[in-house]
Amino acid sequence: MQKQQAGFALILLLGAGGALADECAFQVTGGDAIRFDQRTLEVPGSCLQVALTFRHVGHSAARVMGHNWVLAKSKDVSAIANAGAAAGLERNYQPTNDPRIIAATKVVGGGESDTVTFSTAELRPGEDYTYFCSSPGHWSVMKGKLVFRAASKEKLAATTSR
Amino acid sequence: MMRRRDTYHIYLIIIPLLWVSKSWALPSYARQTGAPCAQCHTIAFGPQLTPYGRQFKLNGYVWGETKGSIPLSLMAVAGYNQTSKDLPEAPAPHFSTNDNFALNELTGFIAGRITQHMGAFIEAAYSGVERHTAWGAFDVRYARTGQLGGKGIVYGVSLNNNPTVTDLWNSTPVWSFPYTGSHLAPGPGAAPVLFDGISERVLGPNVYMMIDDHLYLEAGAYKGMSDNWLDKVGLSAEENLHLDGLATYWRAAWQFDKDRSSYSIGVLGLNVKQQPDPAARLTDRYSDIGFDATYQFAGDNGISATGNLLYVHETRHLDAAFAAGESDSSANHLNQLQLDATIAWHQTWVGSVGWFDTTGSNNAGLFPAAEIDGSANGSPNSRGYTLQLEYVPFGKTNSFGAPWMNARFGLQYKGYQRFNGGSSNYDGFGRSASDNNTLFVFAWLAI
Repeated sequence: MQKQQAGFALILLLGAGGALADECAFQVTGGDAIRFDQRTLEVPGSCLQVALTFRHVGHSAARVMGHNWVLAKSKDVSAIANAGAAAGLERNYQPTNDPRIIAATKVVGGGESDTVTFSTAELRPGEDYTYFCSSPGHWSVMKGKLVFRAASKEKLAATTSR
Repeated sequence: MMRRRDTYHIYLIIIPLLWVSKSWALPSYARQTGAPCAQCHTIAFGPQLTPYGRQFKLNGYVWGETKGSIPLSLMAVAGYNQTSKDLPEAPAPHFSTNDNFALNELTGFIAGRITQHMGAFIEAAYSGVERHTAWGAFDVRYARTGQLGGKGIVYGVSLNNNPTVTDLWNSTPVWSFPYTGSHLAPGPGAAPVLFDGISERVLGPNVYMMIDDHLYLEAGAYKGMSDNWLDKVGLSAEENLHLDGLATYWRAAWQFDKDRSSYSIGVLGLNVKQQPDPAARLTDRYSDIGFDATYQFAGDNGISATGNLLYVHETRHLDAAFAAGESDSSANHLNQLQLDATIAWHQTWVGSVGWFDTTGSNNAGLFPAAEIDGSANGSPNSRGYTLQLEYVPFGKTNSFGAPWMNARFGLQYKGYQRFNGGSSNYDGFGRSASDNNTLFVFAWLAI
C-alpha cells in the first residue's frame, strides 16, 4: 500500500514537473503573410529559462519572406529593427552583439524552424517587452507582447528545488 | 470644356480629374520583395497602404532580396460612364454626350530599387481621353535608418512633383479615395490648391523623418517648371504656373497601433504664390492648412476596414486676379472636407462610401456662370458622395498569377447634392446638380 502511494506521489510529481516545464516552452508560428499567430505570450515567473520555437508554416524562402523572433524591451524595438534591416539577411536582420536583444532566433523560411533558449534572469515583472520579426518592415505588424509574471514564493521555491 | 490641367490661375481648376488619376499597387514592388501586393495594400490591389506598405515607402522602395527583378510595371484603367443627363456637347473629341467607354489611362512605371538606399516611383501615362502622353507621379527617394535619443529613426529625401505624393497615409489628396473615376463626367469647379493644384508642373525636394515609428515630419519646396521642361514631360507652356519663388509644403503626423488597429492624425500645409503677369509685380497667394486622421483595422477573420478624414482650409489673397478683373475681391477662402470608409472581405469584395463638402467665398469673377462648369450665383460650394463596390480577384498571397496578375473590377456611383453653388439650375443654364450624377463601371489591370 505504501509502495502504491509512493508510486502515485511520484507520478503526480512528475506530472506537475512536466506541466511546469511546458509553461516555459512556447511555439510561435508565422507564414507567407507578415503576421505571428500569437499576439501575447505570458511567461510565468517560475520559469528560470524559456524555450521559444519559431516555426515558419508558409512556403516562401527566407530571402523572400523569411521571419525570425526577436525579444527586446519595447522602447528599444524601433532602433533594433532599423539597425537589423541594415544588417541584412546574412546577419539574420539583427545588429551584431546588440545588448538590447534579449533573445532571437535566426531567420527561417517556409517549413523551417529555430529554437532559442534564454534565461529569465534579465526579465522583470511589469517591464514592457515586445517580440517582433526583424525582417525589414515586418516589425510594424509582426509583433506581440511578452508578459513576464511575478512568481509566487512557493512556486519559485518548488521550481528552484527541482 | 473640361481640361486635364488648368492654366496658370490655380483658381480656375475645373477638373473632374481631381477625383481620379490616383495610383496603385505595383507588381514590380511585389516581384522585388517577393511579397504579394496584399502585404503592402489593404485591398489586394490598390493604393491603400498597410503599416508594412508605409514602411516600404518610407524606406525608399528598396526592400526585397529577390534577384533580377525588373523595376517596370504597366497598368491600364478603362471604363464605361453614364451621366444622369446628357451633356450639351461631347466632353472631349471622339466621344459622345453620354454613355462613353474610355481608356482612362495606360501607364508605364519605373518602380523599385535603384541603389541600396534609393528607390523610385515614376509614372508616364497615356490618356485615352486626351489622346496624349505625359508624366505622372514622380517620387525618387533616398532613405537611411539611424538612431535619435535611443529611438529608431528613418530619414530621407524625396525629389517629387506633387505635394502629398510622398505621403504614407490615404487621407491626403494624391492617394485618397476613390482612387479612380470617370475622366469624362463633370466635376466640381473649386478645390484648394493642395488638391493637385500644382501637380506635375513643379519639382522639388522634400526631407522627411519618422521617429520611433510614431512621429512623422516632412518639409519641402517646389519650383515651378519652365516652358521648356513642361514640354519635355508632355505638358505645354500654357500650363506653366508662373510661380513667384518656391511653393512650400510641410507635414506632421502621429501614428500608433493597438491590436489589429492602426491610427494616425496629422496636419499639413501648402503655400503657393503666383505672378501671372511678369510685367506686374502683383501676385496671387494661396495658403492651405489641413487636418487629417486615418483608421485601419485588419481582422483575423478576413475582414478589414479603413476610414479617412481630411479637412483643408485655404486662404487666398488674389491681388493679381483682382487687379485683372478676374476676381471680385482680393481676399477669399475655401474649405474642403472629405471622408471615406471602406470595408473588405478577404481583400476580395470591397464596399466603400465617400463624402465631400466644399464651401467658400462667393466670387462671381472666379466662378462665373457657364454651362455645366459654371456657377449661376458665383459660389464654389459643392457637396456629394461616392458609393463603390469592387471585386478584386488577384494580387493575394496564393492567387492565380501572383505577383504578375492584378485586377480590380468596380461599380462606382458619384452623386451630387450641390454643384458649383446650387442644387437646381446651378449653372444658369437649367442644369441640376443631380444631372451630373455618374455611374462608372471600370476595370483596372496591372502587370
